[in-house]
Amino acid sequence: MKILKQIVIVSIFIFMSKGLFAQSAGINYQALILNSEVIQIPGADVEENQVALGLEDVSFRFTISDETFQDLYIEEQSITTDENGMVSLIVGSGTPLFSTFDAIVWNGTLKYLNIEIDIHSQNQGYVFLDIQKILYLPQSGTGSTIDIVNDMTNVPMADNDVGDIIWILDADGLGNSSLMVWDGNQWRPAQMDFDPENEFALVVALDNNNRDLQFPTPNTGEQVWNQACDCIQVYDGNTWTDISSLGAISATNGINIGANTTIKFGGALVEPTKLTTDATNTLSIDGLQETTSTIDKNIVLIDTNSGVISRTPLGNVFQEEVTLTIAANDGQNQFATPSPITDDKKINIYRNGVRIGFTVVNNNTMVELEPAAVCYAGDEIRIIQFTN
Amino acid sequence: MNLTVFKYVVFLVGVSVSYAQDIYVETSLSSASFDDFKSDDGVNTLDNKYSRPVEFGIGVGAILNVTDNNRLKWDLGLNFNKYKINTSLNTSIPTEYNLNYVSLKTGPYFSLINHSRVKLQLHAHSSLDHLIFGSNQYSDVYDDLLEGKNFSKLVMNYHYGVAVEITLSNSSSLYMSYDSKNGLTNSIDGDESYRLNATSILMGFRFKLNKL
Repeated sequence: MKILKQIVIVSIFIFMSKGLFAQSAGINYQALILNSEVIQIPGADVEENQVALGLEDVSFRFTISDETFQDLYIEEQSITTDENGMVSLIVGSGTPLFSTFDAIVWNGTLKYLNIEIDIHSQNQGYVFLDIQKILYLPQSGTGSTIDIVNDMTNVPMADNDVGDIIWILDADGLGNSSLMVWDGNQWRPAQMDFDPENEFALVVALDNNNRDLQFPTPNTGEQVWNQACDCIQVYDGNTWTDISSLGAISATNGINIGANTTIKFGGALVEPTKLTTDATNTLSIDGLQETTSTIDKNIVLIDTNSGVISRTPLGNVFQEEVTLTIAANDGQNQFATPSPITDDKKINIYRNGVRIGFTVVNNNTMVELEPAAVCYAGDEIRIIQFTN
Repeated sequence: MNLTVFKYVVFLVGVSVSYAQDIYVETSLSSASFDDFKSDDGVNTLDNKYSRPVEFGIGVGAILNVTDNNRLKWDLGLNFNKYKINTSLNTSIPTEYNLNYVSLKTGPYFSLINHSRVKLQLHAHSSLDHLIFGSNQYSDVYDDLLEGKNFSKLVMNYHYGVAVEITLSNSSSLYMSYDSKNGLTNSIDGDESYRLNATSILMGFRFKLNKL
């Protein structure tokens, strides 16, 4: 009668450790292995799973995979079961077949431990034995490291012991790290003080002298509530500094901070500054006051190419008409203009009410009538000039 | 023991006593073991390295003179024997057998020394053992061997040994005997088989019926 020999694990005890006495990390794995082969003896045969598989040479293959069953680590190790069928191994101390145990990132995400066994006397090679979840995180055995997870969604919520600690990189969703302690029901921030005695509050000092009395040799990072300055001071290794001054916000380039740290619009620009508008996002100023006087008033100009804003007097924008009437001498053909001539198109010459041609002469300060327009004594010459 | 066997036994005892010259009562100290166990695969999975406890037994019987010089005698006896056998499974799990047998034995005694005061005898017997109680215990398992068919309830054996008989009086003598009991191979199921062997030291008194 050929009976399939199987192994039954009836008890498995696993816990993680960084090795209280060892130098490398590992998972303690203990199992009671039963021989489910029917054993023939005089009388009734020993039925399956009634006795332990004692003193048997076996090999284990451990595979640790992530929650998508992607292999992270594989190792093998051999052992002989004791007389009671017990085996005690440390997963992580075997012969690696894939990756290394130290390369496993214990970040609190679900992992699986797949176990295969090879009973040497059976000559069947490795057969599947068990697979189970690993919800544990390595515990610090030497105090050199503690478990680290990214945020609260990654902390283990099962199989925790009161007093377990873990470091969370983002404990509040704002990127602030925190040390958490398992209180038996949930993870509590280690720095939070639920004690009404408030013994973890800041030390209160009346003033600097009182502070120095309480901290004659302060350590870097110690803090105190200074009632005199109404501020929290921290010792930076050299001096006590008001923490409100650390990382204070400054304003410049047209922005200033007024009283009560109110940020206000106004101030000198310290660099070329550009506001970009478009058809939708226009720039407007509401509430501008109207004035009737144009004296000492400028208008705003915008450079077509650069968009730079500048100003100019109104006279630069609007032309001023200056009229000069002269009684000509006989044969006179040159006349001085009221203002220097900037553009011959901005000046008109009339003789006895008739517009006549001219040329600009004498460094743009005089006009000379066309040759056919020789004046006689008493002719009225009117010069109308636009200043701009 | 079925009725036919019982009737046969009663007949033998009656005839033997009718023609007997001696009757005897004896006690025994016996140790037993399973030898030559073979599983279906032909493998001996029992370990006989464990201690062999000695158990007490008793017996009665009658002895007939076969020859005139009393060198050759014939014995017919009824014994009660207890055996405790410690062994282990192939997984090093200790197991303990407790067996109680009622045995009907018969066989010759031949006196090498046939002095009136001292006799040195060789003996050989065959016996039929009937199991009246049997158990097997290992771990937390208790197995009643009287149930099921995997343990022989009726076993044939052959014995041999030597005995020394010292005459105490005209009517009685004391004897001590060494007896090696070998069970015939018991095939249980398929190719599985075993033999139950026992070694005994017996001491008893023989009484001459014609002198009583």
